[in-house]
Amino acid sequence: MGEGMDRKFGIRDCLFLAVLFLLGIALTAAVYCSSDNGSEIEITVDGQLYGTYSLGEPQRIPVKLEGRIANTVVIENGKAYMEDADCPDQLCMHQGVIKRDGQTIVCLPHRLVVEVVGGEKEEYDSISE
Amino acid sequence: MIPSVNDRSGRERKQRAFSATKKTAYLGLCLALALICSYVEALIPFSIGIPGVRLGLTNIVIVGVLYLSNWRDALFVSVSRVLLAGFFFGSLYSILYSFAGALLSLFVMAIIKKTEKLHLISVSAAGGVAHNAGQFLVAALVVENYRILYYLPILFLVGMVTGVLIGVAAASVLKRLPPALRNMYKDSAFS
Repeated sequence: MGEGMDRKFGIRDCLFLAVLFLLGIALTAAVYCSSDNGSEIEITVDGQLYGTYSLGEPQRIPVKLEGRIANTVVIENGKAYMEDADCPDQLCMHQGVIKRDGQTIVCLPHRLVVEVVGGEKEEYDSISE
Repeated sequence: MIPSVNDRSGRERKQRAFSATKKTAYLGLCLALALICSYVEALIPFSIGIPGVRLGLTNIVIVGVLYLSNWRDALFVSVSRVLLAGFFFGSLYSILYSFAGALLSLFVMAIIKKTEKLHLISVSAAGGVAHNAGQFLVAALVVENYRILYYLPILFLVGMVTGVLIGVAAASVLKRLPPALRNMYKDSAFS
């Protein structure tokens, strides 16, 4: 009992962690590849639907909160991203481009969520809800 | 002859009672420590926008007990901590999530430790992954939405990273523990 902690961190541990890491990467790849491209995005503010926009047509969507344009979502080439936000941290602008079903951009200060919907598995989702 | 035998068994009994008291105090101390870790974690919003991602400070204590004592004591501390922390800082759902994570994590760590082939840091890393996997399973059952699948890879990798960090911390803590505490389980009939 208690002897285990005197063990040295060895090559076996490196291998173990490497395998674990590769497993994680493989899992990421598997989940990412299995997802379909979505057809539209849903913008929700504070849990309520603000609007649904097709990913098919390029557009610039200004999201108005309390009378000002708080966020600007842009759709280009079937992908959506947050172009502008007036929140202090602007984390949402760094969350990248979304296009696959289920991907989201979240702006916590404005409680705004942009989510891609309309992949092929959508029917399943409407049943389960 | 007979009285001396009686005398000895009496002393043994006393000693056993004493070490049982010692053990109660020791595990109580560990539980308190684990609860403080839970509290600190509830205070710091270590969040990167993904629900369920936390540092897992409590695991330093659990890993410590697992290495100093045995998996039964670690299980006791872990389960008590989940229940108490849930009532103090969480909700019924958070208890459910924590339970799944804590049990699976301890199960995996105890098994890997038992093989005696890997370092504490690896054990902790596997425990971190198992913890998040357990929470994910419960979340999947509760939410019933396939989209939650997107969280799995992130939770897997985050669990590994936090597990390694916690493992490094736990290893350093155990190394610096005063001998009296470190060898507590070694000297007497402590199990």
